[in-house]
Amino acid sequence: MDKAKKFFFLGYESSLMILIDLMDFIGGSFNLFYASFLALFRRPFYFKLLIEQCYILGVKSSSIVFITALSTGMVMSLQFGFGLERFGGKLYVPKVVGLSIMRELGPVLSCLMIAARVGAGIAAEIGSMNVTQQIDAIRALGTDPIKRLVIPRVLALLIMTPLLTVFADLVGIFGGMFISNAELFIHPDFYYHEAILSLKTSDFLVGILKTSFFGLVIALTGCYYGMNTQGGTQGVGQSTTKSVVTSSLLIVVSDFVMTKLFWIFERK
Amino acid sequence: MREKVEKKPLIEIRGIHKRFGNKIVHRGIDLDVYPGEVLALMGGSGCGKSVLLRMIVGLEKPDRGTIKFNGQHIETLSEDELVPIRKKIAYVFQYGALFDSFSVEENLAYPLREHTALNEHQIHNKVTTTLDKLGLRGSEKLYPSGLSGGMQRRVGVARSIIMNPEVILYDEPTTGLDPFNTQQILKIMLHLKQTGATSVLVTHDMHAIFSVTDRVAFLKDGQILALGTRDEIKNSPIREVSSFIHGESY
Repeated sequence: MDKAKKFFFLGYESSLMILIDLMDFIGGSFNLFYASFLALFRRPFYFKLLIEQCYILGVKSSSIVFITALSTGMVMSLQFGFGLERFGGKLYVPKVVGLSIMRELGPVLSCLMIAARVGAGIAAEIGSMNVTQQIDAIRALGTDPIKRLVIPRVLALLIMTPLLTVFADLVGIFGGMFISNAELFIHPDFYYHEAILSLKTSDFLVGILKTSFFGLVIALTGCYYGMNTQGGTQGVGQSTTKSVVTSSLLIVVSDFVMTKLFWIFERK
Repeated sequence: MREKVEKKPLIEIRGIHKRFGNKIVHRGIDLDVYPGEVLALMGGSGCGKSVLLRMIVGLEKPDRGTIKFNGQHIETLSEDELVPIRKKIAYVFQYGALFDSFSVEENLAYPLREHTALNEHQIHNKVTTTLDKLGLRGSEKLYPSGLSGGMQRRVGVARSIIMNPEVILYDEPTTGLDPFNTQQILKIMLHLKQTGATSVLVTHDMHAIFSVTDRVAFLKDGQILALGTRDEIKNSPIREVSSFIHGESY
């Protein structure tokens, strides 16, 4: 009985801690978003830092986005090819691959990879600066850490994630085309016609709108955990892990919510 | 001492209370810092010396009480409103807190680029002159990771004083340094004192306290237990103060 009670209270305590952490994160990240939004319109503006972050967070992520998108397109093509062949629907592969990459897999998988690479990087960099008092130094020297650290990263990801997603869409569809031709003997002209020309503008826009939100989530989560890092190198590690886990979960969950919302609007 | 008392204080601290969770750090601190003096804050670890120093520059807010700089309340100011104050009050961090992605030159140029209209040539000249003064010539292109602890502290001091502040706050500037580097830091502090800068120093280093300071405040249990000239504190009849100075338990 005692063991059962202990187990119950342990579970209760850890659930409570998770809930408190979650509330902390929601409140803190909203505050950070609000403070960043207000600071965005005040001088000075750090354009050089924005360009630098676009390069570090965006351009340098293009290789992992390329590999992810290419592999996804190829796998999708193979799986649908073998699956649909049983029902005589092999010729639908280009449409299915194009649509699923453009609306879903391109944006989500690219952003999950960006969250892993960039979200971790942001949390680790800002977290290290926090525990070594560099953020205090920024403030003590009369400058604003939100303007110098948060805004350039948020804006850079807002700009770069949609661009990377367009790149991922194209690479993914190309990967699908390559495998369809090599393994399923679907001619590239037919694939191109079916995959690209049958897509609507709304399919493209849905993906782009989603990634803008995912970019915001990745940047804010990384910055929030970085700015709230405590306890030396161990704290930096914990912030990095929390940042990647939280932003990945938020991407997956918000993807469902946004898909449902877009679906409602598009049906109207 | 009398001369100082007659002067108007540059920094006025009144009734400061501060707690972090269950830990009460300050229980009503009153303290004045006069122009041109070097005041040391002394006391055991965790007695709130550094927190008080951080409050003076607005890095920490008191729960209750007021802090005035040149008659202006600091505790009520927002981060934006604190900017002009922070140009006048420099903070020297315990381990330098240098930006590790910047070279020494970029670290020193940072406040100049942010707050002045100097061109790059003028900034370079000012950085070189400041590094010369602190015996750091030739380290311009080095990064903090390539500097010794003593050099990092001196670069930290250089970055703090490059804007010619009225007040310099030192947070344990000699802790963990070898005797040579400690002496170098003390020389810099004495030089700045001669130029008329006001300084507040947090330290456990008795040699530093008794060689560069004018007055000393001893903190215990969140309050100021003793305040006086360095000689008065050195010969204090208060048991806790004399025990602390002589490294005995109290």
